[in-house]
Amino acid sequence: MFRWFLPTLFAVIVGLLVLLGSLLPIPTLASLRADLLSGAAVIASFAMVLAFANVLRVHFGRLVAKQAKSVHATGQRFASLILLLSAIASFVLVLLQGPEGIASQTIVEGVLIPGQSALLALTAVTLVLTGARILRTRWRASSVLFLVVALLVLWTTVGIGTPSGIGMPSGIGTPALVYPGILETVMRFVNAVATGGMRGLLLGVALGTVITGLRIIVGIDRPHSGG
Amino acid sequence: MADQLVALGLVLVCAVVFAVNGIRHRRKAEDTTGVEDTTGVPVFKAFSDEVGRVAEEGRTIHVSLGSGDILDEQGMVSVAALHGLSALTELSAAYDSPPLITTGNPTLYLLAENQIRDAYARLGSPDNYRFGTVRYVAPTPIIYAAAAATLAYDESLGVNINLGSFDQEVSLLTHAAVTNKVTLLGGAASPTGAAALYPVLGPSQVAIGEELFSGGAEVIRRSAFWAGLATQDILRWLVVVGIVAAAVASLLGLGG
Repeated sequence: MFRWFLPTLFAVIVGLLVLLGSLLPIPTLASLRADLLSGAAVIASFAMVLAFANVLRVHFGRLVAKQAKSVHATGQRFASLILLLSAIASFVLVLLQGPEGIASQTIVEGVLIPGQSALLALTAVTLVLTGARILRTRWRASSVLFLVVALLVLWTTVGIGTPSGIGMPSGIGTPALVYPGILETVMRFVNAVATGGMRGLLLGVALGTVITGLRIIVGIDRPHSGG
Repeated sequence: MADQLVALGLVLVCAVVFAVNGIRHRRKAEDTTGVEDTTGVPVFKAFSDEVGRVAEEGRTIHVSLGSGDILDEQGMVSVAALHGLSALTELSAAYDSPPLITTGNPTLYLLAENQIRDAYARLGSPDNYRFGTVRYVAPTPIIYAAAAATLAYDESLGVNINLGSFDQEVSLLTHAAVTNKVTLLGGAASPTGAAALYPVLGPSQVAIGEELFSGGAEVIRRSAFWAGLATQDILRWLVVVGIVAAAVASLLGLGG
């Protein structure tokens, strides 16, 4: 009973209150919803502490584990050591100064943001490589169409072939200066189809989200207690 | 306020259609015991098929669940991904060759760990759960993807399953898997994530958009999941009728 009944009952009651608090214009329900969401934020913070402990334990385990001596294993250990040191140092700094402190902000602005930007730039490369692999995995008409559309969008976005070359403002007008009318018409068609398809995809996901949420709210589905 | 009432009306319609479908599917399940329906999304079956192969090869399955927070709109995508993986986790526990599950969200990390622990507990061997099976990697999607991609180089992976809430960062994971000749399977709900997965996965290896929500029905096979899918189908047609009606009304100059 305590394994699944109480968590399920709690989830159903809280789910219903939050849903009604969002949809019904009753101030008491709205205030209760805000309180419940604050409680959820506290639980999420606790989850973050557990997740942080998981990171430390996994990498400490890698550091002390008996491994065959090889360059790769040494590299792994070194990476784990760097990660452990930086995680503990960041944690201590945030504890001492708070998230708004100078040292914390320096880490965010000097390390995290540039690092993420670099990785985002890397995804551009991996996406191009991924696109190039399509004809190997799916040799069919839809793959060719996928590639043609991707190239068209790329072409019209970066403005290759225009008098100023790459770096022109995005949009369908830029290459249309060189190839008046044709590209503009093609891109209008492509944009209309792409927007329609994307909305269809998102509507499907929204319906799936609603139904999954509904299953949890009525207690049929219990991801929190293994059901 | 009008928007809130419309949303409440929609939720009530969903609930009624879901309840009716639930009853219908329950009766159908009682009448046709042993007859297996299929959702037409073969990737979920492939997950459990891979468990045996990977166990024989002495390799590991890496499941990356993405960074979908349980507390925001991506939460249900993550829950659906966990449903789709339930057969894999059960079978992995039975073979005692657990997958390596990584997440980029603390709440999702707890849910995934709970699922694996439950799989062992149902087999009567909760002590066999090994720490490190489920790993939290990093809080932001791009760093998570980059860090999780390194597992393809560090561990002996047989399969890489990317299933959950992903955007374009999933291409870092797929690239690492392709480079290391690791079999790829997966699915994403967002258009950008799906666009990054589509080129490297064959039609039977990927679940795109709402297909991700059919995993529970395909592998858990409970009537509530089939009822959910049937409800989705009916609501989809209602949305289509609504869009067409709105377009016709707009064409005729009626309404706003």
